Amino acid sequence: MSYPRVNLLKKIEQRYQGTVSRRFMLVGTVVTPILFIAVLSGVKLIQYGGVQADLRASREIWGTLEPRLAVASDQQHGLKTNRQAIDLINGWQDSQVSMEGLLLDIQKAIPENVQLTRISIRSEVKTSVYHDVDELELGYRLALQGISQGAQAENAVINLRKDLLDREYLSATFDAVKLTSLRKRAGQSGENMREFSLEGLGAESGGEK
Amino acid sequence: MKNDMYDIKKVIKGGRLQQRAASLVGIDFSTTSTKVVRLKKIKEELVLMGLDLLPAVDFGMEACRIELPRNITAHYGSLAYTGKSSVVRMVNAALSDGQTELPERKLRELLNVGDDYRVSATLAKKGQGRHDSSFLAAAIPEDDLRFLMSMFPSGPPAPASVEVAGLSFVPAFLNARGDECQGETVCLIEAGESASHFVFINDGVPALVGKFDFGGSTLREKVVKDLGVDDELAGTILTDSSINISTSMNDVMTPFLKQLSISKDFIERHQGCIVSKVYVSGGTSLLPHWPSVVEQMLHAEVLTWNPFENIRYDHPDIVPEHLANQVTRFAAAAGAAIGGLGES
Repeated sequence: MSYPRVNLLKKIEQRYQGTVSRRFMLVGTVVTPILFIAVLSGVKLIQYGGVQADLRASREIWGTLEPRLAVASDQQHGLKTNRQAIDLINGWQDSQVSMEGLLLDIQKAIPENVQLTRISIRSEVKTSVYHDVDELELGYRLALQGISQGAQAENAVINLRKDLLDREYLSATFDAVKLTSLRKRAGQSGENMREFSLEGLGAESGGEK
Repeated sequence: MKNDMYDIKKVIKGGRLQQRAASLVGIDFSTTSTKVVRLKKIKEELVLMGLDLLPAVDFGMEACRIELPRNITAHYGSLAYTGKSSVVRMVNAALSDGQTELPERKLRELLNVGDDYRVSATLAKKGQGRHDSSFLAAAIPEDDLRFLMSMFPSGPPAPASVEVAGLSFVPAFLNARGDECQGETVCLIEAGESASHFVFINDGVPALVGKFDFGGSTLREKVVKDLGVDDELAGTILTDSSINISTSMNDVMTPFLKQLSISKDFIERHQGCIVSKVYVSGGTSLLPHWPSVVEQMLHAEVLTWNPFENIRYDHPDIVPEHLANQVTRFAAAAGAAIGGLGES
């Protein structure tokens, strides 16, 4: 409610009075952000100094550790190379087929009426550069030549071919045994004879043919 | 857009004042004492937070900072000035369209004061057509104003207004009895120690104001002279009804009351009404014989009123026991504070 009043005080004579003075508010408004920025900057500067000190200490530690790390890295690289070499050697060893096993299998497979004139088991590398053990596998080639005699000479050769593939080592080494030649030959006493050639091939060798 | 900006400014300004005047201390620098009243406005309700009677300030001495009790101080203060040199008057002047204030030169001329006076006026009634507008005007010496201001150089309370005590009690009356007097014309008398003021209120608006150099001291001087007693004993006789001093009282009051009677007749004729009630306040109104003498002379019902009516007490014992019968003396201080809070 408004009452009739005659105020003799001019507006310019009225001064502000609050809990906080205007001057304080003005100073506070100006100084507070500056103070805040200054404090923040101080804190950040201290943090920056701490980080710099940490960085220097870390660099010093790194300076000490770096040669050791290089040595360790070299050693690790050498170790890796050695391991690879060992793996390759082991792989190469593992890729070797037991010649004894192969010859025994052949021996067992040869019937009485068959006589071998030539046995050849050759191994050859698949590639000249090896990256892993799998590439170390050797390719084997078997060549058998012989003579079969008797009334069932021809059948004996065919059976021999089948029998060879049933043998443990031979079947593991060769995918196929192929009859490459079978020729009729007369013996001195006129008996039935067959001159034959068998060739055993690995999987890839067989594929090539 | 322009109106929106105006409203925003108004809201900001209003908000600031609202905050500023949430609590206000009214200080009446009267002849016998300094009356201090602290009021608080909680929503629309006025709350009395404290009051006290401090020693009087001698305007003849060098001004010094006034120290208020801590529980009665506030950020802002409304000051009421009681001085023999003050001038109060209703002045009439023609206003052009849109004009609400009188030029200072014109006001000085109407109040018949020089440049050594601080003058101010507020529009009481806007004149319609050819009729002049009436202003409630006041003036006090610049020296006294500077004296008042120098008592509050810094810190709380900061003076928010300076009024003449003879007018500052009006808001207290309107707050207390405004509703009771709606549509009526009543006479208010604020009788102080050295001066008395009267205000005729017509429907809440001041219609006529005046000041008399008459008060408690005038009566005491008369009793001292007539009965040959000292000033202290005269004061006791005035407050005590054991001795009949009606003759002395009538003698000294007759000139004052005659003028008041003339003013009453003028108002009744001018406003076409009957002033049937006279409300008295101030220290002199506490004298036992005084209201009855006024009643006889003015032929109107004389009523006393409490300036703290319609004001909630912060706690029941807020009015000290020794002041319980003297609350009417706080009318000017309370009115100054109520008026200040009313503007927020």
